[in-house]
Amino acid sequence: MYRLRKTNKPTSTISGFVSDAETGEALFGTNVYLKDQPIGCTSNMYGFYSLTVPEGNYSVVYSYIGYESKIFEINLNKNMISNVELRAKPFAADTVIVRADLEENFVQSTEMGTITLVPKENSKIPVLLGEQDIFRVLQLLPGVAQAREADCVFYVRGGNSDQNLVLLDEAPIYNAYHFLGTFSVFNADAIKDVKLIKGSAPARYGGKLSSVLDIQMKEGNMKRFRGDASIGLIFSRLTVEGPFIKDKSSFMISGRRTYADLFTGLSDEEVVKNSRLYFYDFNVKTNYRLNDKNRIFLSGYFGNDVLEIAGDTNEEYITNTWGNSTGTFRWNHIFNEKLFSNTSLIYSQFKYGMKIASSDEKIENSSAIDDFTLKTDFQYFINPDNILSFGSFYVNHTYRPAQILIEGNEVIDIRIGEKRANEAGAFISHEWKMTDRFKVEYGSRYTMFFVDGEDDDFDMSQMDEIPHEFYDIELHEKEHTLYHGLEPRFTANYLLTPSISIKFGYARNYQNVHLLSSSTNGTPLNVWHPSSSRVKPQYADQYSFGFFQNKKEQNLEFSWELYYKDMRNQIDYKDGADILLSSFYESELAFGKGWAYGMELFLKKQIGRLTGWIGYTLSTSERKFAEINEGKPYPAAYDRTHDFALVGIYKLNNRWTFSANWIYQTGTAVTMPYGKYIINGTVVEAYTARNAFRMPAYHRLDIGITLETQNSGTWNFTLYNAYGERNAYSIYFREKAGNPQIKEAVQLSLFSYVPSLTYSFTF
Amino acid sequence: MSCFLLLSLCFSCHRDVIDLDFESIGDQVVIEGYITNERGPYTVKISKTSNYDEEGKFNPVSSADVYISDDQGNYEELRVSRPGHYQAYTLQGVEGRSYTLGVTYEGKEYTATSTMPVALELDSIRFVYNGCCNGLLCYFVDPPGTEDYCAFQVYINRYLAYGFLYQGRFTNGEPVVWEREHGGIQRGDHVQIDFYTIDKSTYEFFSMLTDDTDEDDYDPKFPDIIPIMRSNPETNLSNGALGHFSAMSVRTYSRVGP
Repeated sequence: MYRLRKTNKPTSTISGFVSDAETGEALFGTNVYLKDQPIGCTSNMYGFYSLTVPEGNYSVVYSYIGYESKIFEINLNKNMISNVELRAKPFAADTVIVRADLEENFVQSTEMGTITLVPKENSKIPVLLGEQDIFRVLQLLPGVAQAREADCVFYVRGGNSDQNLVLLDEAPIYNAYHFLGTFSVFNADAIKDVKLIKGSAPARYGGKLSSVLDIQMKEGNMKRFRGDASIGLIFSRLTVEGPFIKDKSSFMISGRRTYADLFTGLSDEEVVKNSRLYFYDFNVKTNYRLNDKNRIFLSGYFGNDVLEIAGDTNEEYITNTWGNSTGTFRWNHIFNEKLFSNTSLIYSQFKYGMKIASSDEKIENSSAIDDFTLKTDFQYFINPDNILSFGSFYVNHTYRPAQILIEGNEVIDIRIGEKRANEAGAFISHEWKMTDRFKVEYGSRYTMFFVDGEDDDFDMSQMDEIPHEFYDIELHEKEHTLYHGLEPRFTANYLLTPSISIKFGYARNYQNVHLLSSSTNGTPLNVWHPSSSRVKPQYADQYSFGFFQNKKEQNLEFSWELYYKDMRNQIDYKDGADILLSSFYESELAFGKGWAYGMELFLKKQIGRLTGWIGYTLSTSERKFAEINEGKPYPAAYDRTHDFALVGIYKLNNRWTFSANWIYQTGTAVTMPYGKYIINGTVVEAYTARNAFRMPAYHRLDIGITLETQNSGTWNFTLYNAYGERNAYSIYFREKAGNPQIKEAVQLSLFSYVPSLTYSFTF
Repeated sequence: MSCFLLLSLCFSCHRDVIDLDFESIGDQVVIEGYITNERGPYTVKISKTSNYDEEGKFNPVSSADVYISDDQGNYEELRVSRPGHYQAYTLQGVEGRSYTLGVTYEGKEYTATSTMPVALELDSIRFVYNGCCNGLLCYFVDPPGTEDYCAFQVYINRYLAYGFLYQGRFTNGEPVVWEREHGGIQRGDHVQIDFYTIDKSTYEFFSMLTDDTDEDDYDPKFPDIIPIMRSNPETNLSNGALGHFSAMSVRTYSRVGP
């Protein structure tokens, strides 16, 4: 694109919103440009665009990938508002496609390490048990590593799992998994789009070191009522959306729930009959366009996991609940044709509760997190070469890590001190096209984090025999700590040709909330803590360099990115630490540094009969802690040297689609007992250095077949692990049959040849 | 609990016996050495690890060069008394002295230093009757201002019945009582209590050792959904040797069960 030439002519602005003609949903990233002189801009996540050019006659093109472009002839002699609707292209495998579509954001933006996913496109990718899940699709992308088999937890560029900021309509979700970690809390039917930024995020994002996962809910169809329903192996789903007032206000309600517990009542066994296990997710959103300058949105998410296991008598039972709730209120306000703002009021909560009762004892544990956020963001579209973004935020956090009550022979009440944190900050960023070929985005974020903590309430004298683990922990005392930091961000893009660019990026990130026990995701030990006097804020500097290319003729996007990440104040357990206690007690922890570097290759085809991608990551992630492994560097838990994924979707015709994934990953690094020795007459196991052993490499093939029926129904069949590879989930030891002195190593593998069938329809 | 649920969902699980390859790690040297304030000889045991799929046994190393020296200029080269056991005959363990152990084997040198703390004494020993037999109560004073670590070994009729590790980080100057309610001591039993005062490094080694051998919580049928962070107990030996060199002072007490 050419730089705007300085001229003395008066300028005027054309601005407005771009949306989908069928649903009224905002189109984020639409390109709006002048046909004869390629000067243009892109719409923001609310669909707002603003283009300031010298007055005159122009053909203005609106184009968005997968949609039919529109061209308007205008005579721009004063500011003009133009709200445009674009229609999605009907499927056509021929070659008449506007090439310009593909050249845009991918090559020409300053975005690095960023991938956008559209759930609709990904619905054909075969997944475990047929339950489409955003997190599972993320794990197929380069730079994103899966935890263990069937686990939704993910790791980005060698960082820990607590370093990913998961936002749903700007509300942070702390534990975005259902109870076992096998499903995320995101119902794909309610999601419009998902953006993953791997570490070099622009200044308006902050709070976590490794990535930002920005998920936007659908706003709701502005034009007509419609719905989706489906029944799969695990969940049944229903989504209804429609307008309150056509083209002015709409709503979307989406829910899903597991239904296996409807059948437990049929069982003969008492325990199963009186037990219940169910999960549900409920998303709701509404919006209202007051006028051309004001729109408001209200969205919420409510989810819960309930587990109730009845024992033999009424006195024996286990109940467990776990869930997130969020509420977001947003107000878009357009000051003038160049200045766009969004103000958000956000509430986010995570709650967990457990009760175990037996005839002589009752144990209750509960924990909660409450976040309240107020933030504003501004975008000032000075001219096509200069966009200024700035804003500020305030967050009030409350953490209640655990409240345990044990009632038995003795009553023991343990309250781990509540912590409150007040966080405030601001950011500013300038996107500047300096020359025809060179564009930069630079800026910084500044955060203050002020923690107030209570001391622990923990009376050990009530216990008859204090377990020896408790001798070494240090209880929390009253806390009053302030941290603050500047997070500079910088990306530069140099266009070699309109379809080839090289980019360089630098970002610093601070993180003030931590999972002390990060290997226990999806379990009740997933306890979040704010920074404290002992647990300092984590921080990281990431440098990245990349090469980006669009191959127009083949509809391919190719990128090659190198990154180096230097992480400080990282958290891990001391050797011999008690994992249970280290979820709550900082004295079980060690602090040190880490580093990760790697190369990511990504080839994506978005258009045509065959679509999909190939991703390959070659990387290393290591840690170095004075108290672990004798101070020598050791591999991070999910260090994966090779991570390869091939995803292919082939649309045969309007009815049949075939898809397949093939994945290959280096095994996880673990600590294993490799031998035995005798001390003081007892046989002791000898362990390798921390994470010095590699599990076997992991690979599997999944296939999927989708059939669309005449009456808007869809059948989806998937086969997970189609060639039945026995991938090691864990390796443990057991006594050899017939010779109890000798142990043998046993590999447990979970899923092979798992079929699933889902039926869904729209109305 | 979540393990149970995950596995019950998994109807296509497989368990296969596999061979683990630890070639790159090889065998490690294990050194277990003690020096006390009682009369010698003092023993240092040196062995090698067995492979995980072999019986846990003592694989003696008899060709190592072993010495012990103290901070008063005393030095002795130990001699093999039986396979894997090296003894020091002339060296005398004295409270307050610092001892250094050096082992050379197959070209590698392993050293460790341990300071023998001044012995703490038991104030009194009592028996408490609990219906069937007697329990044991030991009273002692943990001096203020110092971090003290102790270990008890209780022998009943010359058979090692039980032991306990104590660390005095949280007490200061108050009398401490160690109680063993179910002491299993019958009338007329000969009870010997060895009360060791040990250094921090020895305490940490044996404390972690207990964790590693305590397999109560670990059910091999269910995989580690919540992994247990196991590692080798902290050693004061250099160069990757397993085991520990401990200089301990001991006071022995004998009683007869009432």
